[in-house]
Amino acid sequence: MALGVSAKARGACRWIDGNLAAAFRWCRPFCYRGMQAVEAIGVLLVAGIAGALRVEGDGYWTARLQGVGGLLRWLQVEGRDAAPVIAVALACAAGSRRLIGPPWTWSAMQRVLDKWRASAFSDVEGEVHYHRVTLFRVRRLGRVLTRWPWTRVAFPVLRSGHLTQNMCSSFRAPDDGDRSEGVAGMAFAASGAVHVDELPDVSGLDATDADVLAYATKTKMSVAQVRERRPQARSFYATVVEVRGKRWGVVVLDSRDPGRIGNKAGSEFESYVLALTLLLERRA
Amino acid sequence: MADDWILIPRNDVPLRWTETVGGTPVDMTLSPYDAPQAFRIAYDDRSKVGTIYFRYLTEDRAHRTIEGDEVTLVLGRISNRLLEVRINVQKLAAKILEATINIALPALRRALESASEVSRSRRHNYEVAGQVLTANATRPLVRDLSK
Repeated sequence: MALGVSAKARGACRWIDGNLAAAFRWCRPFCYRGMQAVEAIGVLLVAGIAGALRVEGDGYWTARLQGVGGLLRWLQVEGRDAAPVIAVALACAAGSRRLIGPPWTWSAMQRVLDKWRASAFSDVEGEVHYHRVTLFRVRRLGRVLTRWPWTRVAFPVLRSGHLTQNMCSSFRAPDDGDRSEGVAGMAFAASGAVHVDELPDVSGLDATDADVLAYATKTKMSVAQVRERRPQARSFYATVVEVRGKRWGVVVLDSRDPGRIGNKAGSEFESYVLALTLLLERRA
Repeated sequence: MADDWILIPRNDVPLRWTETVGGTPVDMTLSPYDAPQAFRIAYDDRSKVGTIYFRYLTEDRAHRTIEGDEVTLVLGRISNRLLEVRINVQKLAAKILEATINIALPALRRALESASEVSRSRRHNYEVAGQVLTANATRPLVRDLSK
């Protein structure tokens, strides 16, 4: 099926959005360490300014600190003006660091997702990337090029394994649950864990209209989205992730195998959900 | 006072349902956060109230109460999950020492229905809590310390 120009543009925007997110994920640890460095330098400067102002006009200390007289004078002269700027920089660095989260929590969450994937799909055949566990964050400003910035969307932040890490997809998860989109959006709106299975294969260009329509209906996507993205997953399990009692995001298990994911009671994933919750609570 | 936690085997309360999300019927199971992990029963002799406490995957503080003459429900501050069920034993049981959870089940069902109207998104948590208590209906609310 030939896609229109707008579809191509949408695809390009999704690709850019996905790559921006991937770049952010890659530089996350460096940003965190950078912010730590800014905080350390800021604290040292504040201490230096306070000390310099304290000894201002004190002959004893001025004589003793003659070796660093230039720095002392600079701190005394510029310190008063610089202090508010340093305070703002410290606040920004602390806020950014909190927003990014310590690298160890991200690597621990990656391990949890890998372990979850191995456990959930231990009896299913196929390559590692055929069965995945993806953590989605739900918030506004999640995707800036493909979504109106104020739309609340579920966007992927972490995925099990080492392949298919260029995560471009995002799904609407608005206050009005009727307008939610995709399995991730549905899970965020629903009051329980979502199971979708026995989906038809729509990954090929030769997928029939009936199959595409069935896939779109079951996964709450539009026919155009299914045609455009040609998803390969044929079964899903999705549940909300809460942080301090509030809905934070969604974790989605998807597989190319059409069989149901999880047992009848859906209870086998509780320990992984708890691990993610505790790590996210440490992060925030 | 009986205050030991009683673990709830999750497979004892398998809950599956179909919900329509934006016109799409979806097969669902209970959210891991809504499944009670354990419960315990405590009895206050002064007020003659038996309290059943539920424990979940994550913690929350007791906040909102749904008051009733016979049964009072206590919900979580943020999550709205059912944290406590307070049973007025004096009002429900002719002989306090023989009181079991069973005496409160009709009033409990009514209270849980009211709770479902307060928080629609947690209605399955209330349903499962009700199922757990029904399955444990013969458990005594009061432990006879003289024995």
